[in-house]
Amino acid sequence: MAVFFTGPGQVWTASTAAATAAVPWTLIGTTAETVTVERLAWSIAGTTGSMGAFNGAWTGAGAATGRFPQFAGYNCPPPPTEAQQAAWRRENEQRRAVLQVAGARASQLLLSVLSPAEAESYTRLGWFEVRGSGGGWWRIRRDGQAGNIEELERPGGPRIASWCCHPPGGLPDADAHLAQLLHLVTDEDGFRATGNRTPRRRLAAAWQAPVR
Amino acid sequence: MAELTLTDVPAGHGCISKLTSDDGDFRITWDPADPEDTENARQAFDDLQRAGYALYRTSAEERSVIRRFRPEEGAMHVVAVRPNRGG
Repeated sequence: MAVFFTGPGQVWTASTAAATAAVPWTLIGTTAETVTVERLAWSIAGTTGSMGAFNGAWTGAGAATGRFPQFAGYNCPPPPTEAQQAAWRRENEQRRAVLQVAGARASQLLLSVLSPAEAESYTRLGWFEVRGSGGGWWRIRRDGQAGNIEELERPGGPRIASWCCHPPGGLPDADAHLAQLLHLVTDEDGFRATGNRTPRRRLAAAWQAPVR
Repeated sequence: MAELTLTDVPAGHGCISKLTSDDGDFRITWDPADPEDTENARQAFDDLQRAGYALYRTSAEERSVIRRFRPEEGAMHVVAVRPNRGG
């Protein structure tokens, strides 16, 4: 297998190839050569490395310089046909429709559980505040479900920290917000033990203020 | 807190909402006056509990963890969700 997998500007020599002998790729061409990689490169020929930069055409250092003509078009998947692309689009549209319905039901459920004031805040401002079972104040934000919970100093007050704690399984956001709400109001300590906390970053200027 | 106002839950019926990704939530409703209905709901409740779901009772007065299905308390709204995890 003749493959390399590296980043821009990196120089590959026989010794580099030797150093990577433990991994399932080796330098393209003869290992006596020195190759300066011009762009982010990729793996081919059956490796399972990241294919993030692989665009289906051999356009890397070797192809650009004509150094490795034997790899031109090597093992590249054919571009998708029109029919395949149409099928993918249909699947995506169907999936989006399903998720839209799920999201609407989740919102309906959440709003049925929130108090009128909480529901008003959630729909108008994009967040609502709730008091945890341990007495802490929390703001649950509508945007996303990871890191969307803020611990507050007081009701309506500044954020002390952000928390990431949500149900698994890719639920609609409103469902996750309901789960977060119920967790907080029934077991705040458990929420703290489960979630990941990110303290608020203070402004640099605040650190530089004179100490009194 | 608002009373249960889910449009597809008949008035006076209880409801277990199991949160799911594809449906938003899957609702199991029961008529407290119907023993068979109630038994089905109890079965669903027990199954969810066994499967590790966190079960919460939500009503106008309270939001609390519920560990036992109590049909004698009449219609109630139960939310079932897999426990939160740190992200």
